[in-house]
Amino acid sequence: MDVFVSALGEVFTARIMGLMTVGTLAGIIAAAIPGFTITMAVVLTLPFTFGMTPIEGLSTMMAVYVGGYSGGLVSGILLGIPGTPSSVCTVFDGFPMTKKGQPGRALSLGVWASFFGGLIGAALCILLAVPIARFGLRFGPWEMASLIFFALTLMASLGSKSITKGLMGGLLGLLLATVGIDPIGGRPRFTFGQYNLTSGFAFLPVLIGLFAVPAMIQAVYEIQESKRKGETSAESYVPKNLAIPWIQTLKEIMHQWVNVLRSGIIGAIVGALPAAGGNTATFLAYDQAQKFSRRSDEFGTGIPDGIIASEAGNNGVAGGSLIPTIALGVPGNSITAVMIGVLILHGITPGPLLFREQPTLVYGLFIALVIAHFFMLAIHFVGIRWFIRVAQAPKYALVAVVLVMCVVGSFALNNRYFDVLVFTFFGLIGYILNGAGMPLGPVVLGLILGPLAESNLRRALMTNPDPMLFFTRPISMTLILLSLLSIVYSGLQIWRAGKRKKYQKS
Amino acid sequence: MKKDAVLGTVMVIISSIMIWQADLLPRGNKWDLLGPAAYPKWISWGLLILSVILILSSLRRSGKESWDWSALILPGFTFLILMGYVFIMPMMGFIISTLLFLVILQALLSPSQKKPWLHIACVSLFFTFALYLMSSYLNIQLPVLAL
Repeated sequence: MDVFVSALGEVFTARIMGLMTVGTLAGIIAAAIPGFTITMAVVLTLPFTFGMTPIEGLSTMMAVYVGGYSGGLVSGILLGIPGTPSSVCTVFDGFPMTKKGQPGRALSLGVWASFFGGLIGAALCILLAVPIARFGLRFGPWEMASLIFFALTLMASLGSKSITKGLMGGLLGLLLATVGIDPIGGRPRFTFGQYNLTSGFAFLPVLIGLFAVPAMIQAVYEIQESKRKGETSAESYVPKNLAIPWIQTLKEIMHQWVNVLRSGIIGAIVGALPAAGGNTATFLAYDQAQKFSRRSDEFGTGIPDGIIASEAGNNGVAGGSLIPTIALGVPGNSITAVMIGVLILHGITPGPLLFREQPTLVYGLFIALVIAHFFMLAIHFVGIRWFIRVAQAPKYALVAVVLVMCVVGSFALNNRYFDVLVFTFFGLIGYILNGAGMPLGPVVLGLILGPLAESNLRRALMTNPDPMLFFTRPISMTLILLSLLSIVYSGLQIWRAGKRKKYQKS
Repeated sequence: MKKDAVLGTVMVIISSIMIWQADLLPRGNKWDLLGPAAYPKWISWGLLILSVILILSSLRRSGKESWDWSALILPGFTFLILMGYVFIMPMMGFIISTLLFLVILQALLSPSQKKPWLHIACVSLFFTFALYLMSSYLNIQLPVLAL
């Protein structure tokens, strides 16, 4: 209890409240722009927190993270273009409701559902993270190495369209992480005589390059296409004086509490699983809502049930995916992989020991996670009418501005010009890999978890040279079996899909 | 040529270089069985094998993939301008190079019929100075190598 009170005292300061307001606003705005992802929002705002204390920086990043999950609904509902991939299902009913002349109702339903779904995810995160971390304390180097292997294979196999490319991405990330000083012996590796590579690739410039540059180049490609076709901006059905019935829709949400609760829980559980993210959660929540609804045949025509399920599911993921990230130090998807980076850059090593060594900070994070949802709600109350203007801002200006922010962000980490060059190089790599259909999530996961994987593997063999211990220790064996199962399962799925395609063709 | 085959070939080259480089590192000893070389070598071998699988499966697939080179013109120019910005920054300093970059890139990407010059100028000036002020407030170093 003392820890909780002390954490409350640390978070509830005027400066942190101000920073969280700005962070939430930044997250919402970034996610409201079609083509910008939550990962990009987190990566681009991270450099601005370097000068802050850990609790200030982490609270700000938590606000960006939560804001990002809710921002995608604005352009999805008003323009029919999802702001983020995880708000795709919101478009199914949100945009038809807008076309029916009820954009305000659709927006407020989405915001309320995001708020309640997010709080359900946050509550589950707080409830489950502590026991999972306690369980994680039993892990030795064998279990940790197997856990990382599990997270990587799951993300590479289930989270990618091609298992081969997914696994290649994971291995490429692990390989990139070996550049620099060897974590056990302290010997430089693969530096090719470059002094700047001795400490390896700083992962922030790599992340910015891999995520932001392909997204910006894609935006440029879209500009080129619209120039060719002579298109102007997307058709808008939004009236000039947009009325938003907040109270009325709150009553509607209360009537649908089962839908909100179910979708929020689905989101949190899916979020906690490695490889599954907002997309899977929203589709699953939407599908379940349709199955349990009395008006299942009206889904997709602009009914509240669909918007509520999608947004509650999407925002439930925010809390859920933080469970393995904070409790075990193993991220489940690329967004939480970046969040792990955020923690590391602020000098914090996530994992079970964090709960024992820095309990105030952990509780501070939990408090920030909950408060961020209230900020998100308040900012939507005030600014939702303006967010659509941001979503419609000219892309040529956005691309230029974001690229400058990428350069500043890459430099700000170590104040090294070399990192700006690293960003440019990885931007090119990211663009090529993206174009070739290689998923970037496993690359990032491999890069972040690489040093941990290697040091645990080598430490395990230094403790006992018998490699069979990986297969005889129960937790380690279970994790390895699950990893293999995920590869086999994913292979079967792809094989079946291929067969079905052939059958349909014939 | 198919995209997967190109990707696979690039990865074969990268993994081969890494295997060769890992061979130059010292081997493990009785205290550290793996040493600095074994782990990267295993990963490189894994990447090499998967790359070969990718190339073979791509060659087995029937049909031809067409490459739309014209689609790469504007993205290619954007990337070149970004590289130019990064390279001139140490010579011209952050503020001047950023202003130039913002104006040139926006001019390139904005609608071709009627360039919104006033808008471009306002965005460039406002953003550069906002970033400069924000960095001083949040104590972030900008790449201001010279003004």
